[in-house]
Amino acid sequence: MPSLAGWPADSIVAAMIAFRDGGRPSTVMDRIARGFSEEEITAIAEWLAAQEEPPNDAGP
Amino acid sequence: MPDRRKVVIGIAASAAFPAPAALAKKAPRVVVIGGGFAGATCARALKRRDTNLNVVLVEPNARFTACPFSNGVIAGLRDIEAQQFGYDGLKRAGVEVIPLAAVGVDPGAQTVMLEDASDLDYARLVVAPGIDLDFNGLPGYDRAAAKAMPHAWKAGEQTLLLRRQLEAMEDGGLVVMSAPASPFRCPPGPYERASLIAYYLKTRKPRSKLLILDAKESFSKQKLFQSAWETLYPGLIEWTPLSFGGRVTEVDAASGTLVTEFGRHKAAVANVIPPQRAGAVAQAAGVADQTGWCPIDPVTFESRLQANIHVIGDAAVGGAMPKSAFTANMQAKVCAEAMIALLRGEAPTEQKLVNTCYSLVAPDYGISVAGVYQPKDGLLTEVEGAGGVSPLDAPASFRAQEAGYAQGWFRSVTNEVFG
Repeated sequence: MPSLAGWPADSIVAAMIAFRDGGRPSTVMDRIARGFSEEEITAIAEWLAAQEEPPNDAGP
Repeated sequence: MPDRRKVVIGIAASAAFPAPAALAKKAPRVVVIGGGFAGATCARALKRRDTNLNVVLVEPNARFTACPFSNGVIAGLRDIEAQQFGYDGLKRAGVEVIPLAAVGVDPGAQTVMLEDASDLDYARLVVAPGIDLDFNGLPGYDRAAAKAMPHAWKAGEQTLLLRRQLEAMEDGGLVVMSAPASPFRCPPGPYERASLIAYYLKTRKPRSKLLILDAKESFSKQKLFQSAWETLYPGLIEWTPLSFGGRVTEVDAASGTLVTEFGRHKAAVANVIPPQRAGAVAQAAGVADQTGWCPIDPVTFESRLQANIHVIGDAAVGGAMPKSAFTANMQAKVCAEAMIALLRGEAPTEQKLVNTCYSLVAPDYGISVAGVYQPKDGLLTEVEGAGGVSPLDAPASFRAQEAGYAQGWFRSVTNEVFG
């Protein structure tokens, strides 16, 4: 499974919104994304985008 | 020359850097008791967030044995070594690990007493002891009885004991499990265990049966479990709820008998999951209330009963979050963030927390329950409209995907905490 660390914030936001609104099929992410507002999703995405993926670390 | 060089370095070191003791006095010390998913995550998160912080983890075991996926060990699908993790990763991250048991806490003096009679001062303390089994909560079930009727609710030797008992059982034997009333560690755990034991019986001892005696009227992911049992293990698992006499009131370890209000059940293999409470050190620290669990503030995880002590993971209660490794890991990070703010004299910010619990009904058949939580009226409350369980009608590919994600979660959480 690829790590999200370092992904562009825009694509994380787009994916989360699509999970939330049912536009993107998922197993569990739809259920989780529905708990967050657009502002919160943006904050999460910006934080993830700023993370470097260390070789031996799956990231927080 | 070598001598002279040594001396010069010695002088340079003492002049340029203060002695470690002086540093220790300056940086506030956070002590974390318990190196499971909650405590180890918290220690590591504190260090990640503030490298100057003095973080001490007090944990007597050299290796942690994880509960998630330990039902796979019981069913012979996995080795116990895959469940075990050491503390070298935490040490590399700058956490000081003290391999001793904490035996007491003085909240007034802000000190932890260790088993070797030494003391540790703290600016803030994290109590993360997980659960203790209540050996006074079920007549006949004491430590000696657990050697004949394993609980296997703390992973390790008990897990292997239950596995050996199943392996030694003759085909056609009756396995009896007892599940406790809420709250307890891992709400879907007994039913995942029943599923994987059924998988073992179906493939290895197909004339055998499994009876679950339950002190509850319903259970986590019930429809998903029961529908999968009908498909995968028809006629193999019988579940008896509270109202049908499911509550076990007494056990007799010598004869392998579980007693309910309605009758007696003699088991070839008995797995008794007894009532539970917060680990002993929580009682010693004065952070557990009369229920045996530890009430907390949902923003900071600070104890409702003692200042400067935070409780996270299975020992804590404070709303709707289930007692799971995912919850423990999440609470630990939120708690670490809040503690750093408090140590700096800043106001902690409210966070949302997520939990996802996967259960395996068979090796390639996973189901899940998820929830998003936020502090509301002093409790961790489910965010409306979010969360829920896997769909009841889903193709096999969906179940296989969730089984794969369960493995992926375990790999990434253990790598994040112990790697």
